[in-house]
Amino acid sequence: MMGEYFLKTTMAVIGSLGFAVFFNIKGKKLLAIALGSAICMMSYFFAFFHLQDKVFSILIGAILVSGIAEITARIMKTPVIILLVPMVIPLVPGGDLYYSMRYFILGNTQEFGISFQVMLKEAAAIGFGIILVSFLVQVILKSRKYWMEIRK
Amino acid sequence: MNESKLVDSMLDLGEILFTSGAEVNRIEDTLMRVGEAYGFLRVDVLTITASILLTVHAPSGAIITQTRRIRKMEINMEKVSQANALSRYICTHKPELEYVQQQLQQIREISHYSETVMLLAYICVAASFTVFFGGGILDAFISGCSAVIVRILIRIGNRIKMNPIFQNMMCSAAAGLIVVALHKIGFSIDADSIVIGNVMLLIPGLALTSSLRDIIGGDMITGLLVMTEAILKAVAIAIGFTVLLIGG
Repeated sequence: MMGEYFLKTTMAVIGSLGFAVFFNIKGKKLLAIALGSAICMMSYFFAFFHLQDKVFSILIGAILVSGIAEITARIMKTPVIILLVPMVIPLVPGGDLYYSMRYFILGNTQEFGISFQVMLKEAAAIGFGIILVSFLVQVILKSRKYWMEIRK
Repeated sequence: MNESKLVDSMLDLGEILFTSGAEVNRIEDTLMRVGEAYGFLRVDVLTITASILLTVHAPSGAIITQTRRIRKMEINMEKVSQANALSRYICTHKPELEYVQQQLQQIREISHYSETVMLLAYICVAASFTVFFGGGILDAFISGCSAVIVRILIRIGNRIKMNPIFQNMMCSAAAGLIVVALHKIGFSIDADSIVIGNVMLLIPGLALTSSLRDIIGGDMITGLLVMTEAILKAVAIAIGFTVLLIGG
């Protein structure tokens, strides 16, 4: 079981790095992306192992990875999106997109309904995770700015 | 300093950011900051999907408006990163216009990874996601081979300026066809994981993520337009690989 998770995490990291190359990301940002992606996948598998709930695990992974991307981007003085997109790619529900389409073509309406719903929920979980973190960061930054202005 | 030329250079900076894949929020914020650094009294920027509109009130009393229409998108995060660094430098040092133009030219000339590296990346991504979604070694190998074909199709599509949505459909159909053909010949392969590996290559992850961030940043128009395009692309991918399901 652990071996399978380790293999999948490694594969996810390779996939993330590949996407980083598609976007022409160079240098030590690649290292940050590899680490972030590994942490993201490990937390996803950890959550999945304990909760057995795919959607909720993806939400946890997405929140964590957005947090890592926001913090690392500020340390490295680089736009957040550069780090965030490649890191989050392995969470994208490509598999469920495929399976729901397959059930649809096969005419298996019940299975289609289930997997399509799961896919939408997973996509929404990623979106919600990213939105939540970037909203929190904005609130923190804006209140810090406001605080600085008051103190002046 | 020639104000009209300066506004033109600011738009150049915005254009580089936009075409390379930055979010709208970042472009508007960057142009505002640069404008303020050069002492413009008021800077108004509007960026919607394919155009940047910039009006500045110069200290001399002149009001200058320029627009830029953006047609070609080529994602290149190194350019975004460098343009971001340049805007930070401008805000702290206020360099001469010639220096800025020279730096902009350097950013424009930043090269992409070579075709060999890109091809390798395609193979790695497809193969690794095939294993990720439950494929074996043989499946990963076939997935890598079909990734080469996907890359070739994308190159051809870019050359003849094919509609990106249709291009996605074609690429995922090609991956599906390869799997069907191999299956008919008699290879025992895991068709699902191979196609998913290739689907992951085409998924518009950047567009989806940046549109979400745009919407949160308050840029509803751009966010919704980009998101619609991304969803259409995902649907096109799904339609493309139905070839496999009907044929196999």
